Amino acid sequence: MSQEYTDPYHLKRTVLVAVVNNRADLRRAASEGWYRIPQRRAPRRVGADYLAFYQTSAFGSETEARTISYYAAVRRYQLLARAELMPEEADHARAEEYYFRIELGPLMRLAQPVPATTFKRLTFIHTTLERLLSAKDVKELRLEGEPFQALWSALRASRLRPLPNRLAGEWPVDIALRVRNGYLGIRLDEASDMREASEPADRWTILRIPESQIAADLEGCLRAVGAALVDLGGSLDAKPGREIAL
Amino acid sequence: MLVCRMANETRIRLGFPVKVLGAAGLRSHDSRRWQNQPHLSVSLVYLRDIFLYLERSAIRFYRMAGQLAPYLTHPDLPAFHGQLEECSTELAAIGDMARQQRVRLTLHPGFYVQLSHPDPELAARSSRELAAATALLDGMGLDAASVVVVHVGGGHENVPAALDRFARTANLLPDGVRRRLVLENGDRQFSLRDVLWVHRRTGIPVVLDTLHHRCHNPDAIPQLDALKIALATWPEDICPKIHVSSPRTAVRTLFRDGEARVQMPLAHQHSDFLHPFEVIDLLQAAVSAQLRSFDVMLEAKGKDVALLRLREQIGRYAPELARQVH
Repeated sequence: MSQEYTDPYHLKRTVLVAVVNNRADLRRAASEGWYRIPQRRAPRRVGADYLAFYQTSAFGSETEARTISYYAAVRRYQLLARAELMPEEADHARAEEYYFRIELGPLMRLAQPVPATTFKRLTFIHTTLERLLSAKDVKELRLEGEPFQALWSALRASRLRPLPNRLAGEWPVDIALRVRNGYLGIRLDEASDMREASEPADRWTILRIPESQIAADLEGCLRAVGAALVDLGGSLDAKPGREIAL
Repeated sequence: MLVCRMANETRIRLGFPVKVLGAAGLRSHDSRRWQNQPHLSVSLVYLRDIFLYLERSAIRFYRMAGQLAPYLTHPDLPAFHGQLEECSTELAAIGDMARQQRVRLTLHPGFYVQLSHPDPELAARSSRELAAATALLDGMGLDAASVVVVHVGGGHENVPAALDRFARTANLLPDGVRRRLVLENGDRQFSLRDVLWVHRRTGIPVVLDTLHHRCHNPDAIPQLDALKIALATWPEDICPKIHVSSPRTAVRTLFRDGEARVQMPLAHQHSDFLHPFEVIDLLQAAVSAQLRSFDVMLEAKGKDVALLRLREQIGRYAPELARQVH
């Protein structure tokens, strides 16, 4: 157990940065005042005072592409099936899946949009309004003491495709990676054993990484993930490019 | 149903109340003032984020914030009264999550809930608060282990009369509300014997608060005996719970009118962390006496951090006990 803790009260006004990769979602947030996040792919922290939008390169040559330019106050949340959320797409393959519908106040434009100059692939970022208003780059938004985010970003930077918050049978895992014949589930906790067989679910292998170790030795954690992937026959989702460091 | 293991050995589950201190930024409920339109839906999303933290920390007993549904029963703010209906899906989902993680959830409304109040209107308002708390737990689909802890209230210079009013008002509560109610002994009045008196007239189980018992024990009942007595008031199919805390022993510096004053510690104030050896002694005594399994709500200012610290200290100083404490 750590002997020191971050002051839990220092996060006064929190912001969840969501990734928007199509104009319809942003338009809906602006005109209808809501945004959706699939429940099964939701980040570990959904609750926040504000929602900000990182617009991907899908926004083409617009000046807002690859920046966070807009944010809005969160008013309420609802849990709705996709079919209820978007009745015009009732035949959608995921029509029965549940989504968080986040009701928003008016969209506000940042006086100083926050570009992503080095990060090419972003996921949800939990940050504070103070940081959002002063950041000059998206990488400045990440909060210290967020081991999940650190490992997640490192896995992405290693050209893997992690999946958040999955269930390995009855076991919730923080990060999942697809491997041959199953999944590698990564649990971030302070349990002492680093590796154990996944009894509750077939096709799952669980790797436990203490959060404190991520802060102390991220490279070592990546090596542990890499070794587990090699053991399991390799990642199915690895993209071509730089390999994970072993 | 969430039931502690009863057979053979005493199992003890540790929990903490409301605020999470071990992970910065996790909030217990939507605390915005009414002008900013707070809502239960926001509290439930905060709760979902807390549950993910509880799972990571292997904590399976948690007291939710009393103000989870803000202004739910405020007589002047009817716009807030429909929150439970507005959030029926979200309540069911968070209840599913609690069951999936096997987390026992409880509530402890504030001291303004006083079934014993001599003013019938205030007592009735307390009854409405308890009905709302019950509806919240019912909406989450939680079983009978999810109890609502109350105090007797004020003595109003006549403790027997206050006890009598409490018992009469409690017996008038709807069955569903009374079944979730449990009663805690006080630290200045309403001793263990007093709350047992209420138990005999209402069937409401007794939550032993060990610090309160140390502060107000006019019958000189030894702590282990008090624990046995309190546990015996609970139905067989519901795991009893108790409150454990340590008294503050450090001085506190208060600032008034720009002047610093040092305040001596008071015995009934909670300390930041638990006294590990006192807690170990209590739990070991319970295990040695082969008492039925029970849950311990740790009322320390350090909240979850105090729980994790205590768990670690039990592992270090009483490893044989650690097998039975979770």
